[in-house]
Amino acid sequence: MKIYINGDAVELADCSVPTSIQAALVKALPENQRQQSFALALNGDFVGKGDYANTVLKSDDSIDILLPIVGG
Amino acid sequence: MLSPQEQLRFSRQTMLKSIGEDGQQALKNAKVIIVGLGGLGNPASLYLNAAGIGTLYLVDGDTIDVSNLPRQVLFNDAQVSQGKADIAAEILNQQNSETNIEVLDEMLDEELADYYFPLVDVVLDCTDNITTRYLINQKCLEHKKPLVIGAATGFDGQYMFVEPNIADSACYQCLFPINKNAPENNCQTLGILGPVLAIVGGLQALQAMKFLTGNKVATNQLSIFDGFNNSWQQLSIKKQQHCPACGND
Ligand SMILES: [Zn+2]
Repeated sequence: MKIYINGDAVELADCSVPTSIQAALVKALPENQRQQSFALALNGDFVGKGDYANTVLKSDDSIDILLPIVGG
Repeated sequence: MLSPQEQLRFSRQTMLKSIGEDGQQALKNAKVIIVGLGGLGNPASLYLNAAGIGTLYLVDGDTIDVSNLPRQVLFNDAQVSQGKADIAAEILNQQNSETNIEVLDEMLDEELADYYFPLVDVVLDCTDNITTRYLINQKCLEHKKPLVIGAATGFDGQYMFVEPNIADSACYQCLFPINKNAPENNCQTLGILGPVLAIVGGLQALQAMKFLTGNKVATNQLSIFDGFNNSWQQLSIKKQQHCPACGND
């Protein structure tokens, strides 16, 4: 199953097993990126951190990871 | 009651139906705290002061650096190495001497927030680091104070309004949960153009004025500005039940 993270295609190996946002992040992002503060949108809709584990992805889903801007 | 001079001075604001004389009076009665007198706090404080906000608290422990001048437009060469909050108060006083301006020339900490936030009607987050942003968010939740958040680096800006008096209003941590690695990039490390800050700081001032005059300001929305491609994007966000800052458990 192919999904997109910030526009880049990511191949998730086994599509017979449901893949959560959490699992996709673990597979696609290096640990130091996962340990940053960020917001996430799935197909344009915000998903809170508490729902990463129970939100199942389907083929061609698009995840956008948005970092906080902190300057001022 | 507005004096005849005030009626004249603020006539272009009071002629707006959504402001009126009542709105202008509300601005005059209002107390606003601006945390950070850098690139965002400069335009935000200028506009709020000019618009007739009664009391402004200016919080910044930093001094003016020559590299601030292209974007922190209240300041000039002669003021380099002087305190930002002090100088800002001086300039704002020349602009509108009716405003009661209180200078807090130190960096915001818990104690300062606990003392000053209960005194104000709205808080503007114009800071430049995420640790203070989380602290301001937390303290606004504790003291039930509406929070107008702005941020900018490079060509990009973000804006969000948090209203703790509305039950389902998402907070900054609902959007950006605290994690192990805090972002360290700010204007010093990434660069910035002044007008991007003027747009976001101006937006913060506008939302504060709308809120103070009883007009609706949207919650649960992150506004994202792209100054390179001239576009705004809105992301609808949701309060998180398990948010460590505002959640129910
Ligand atoms: Zn929250």
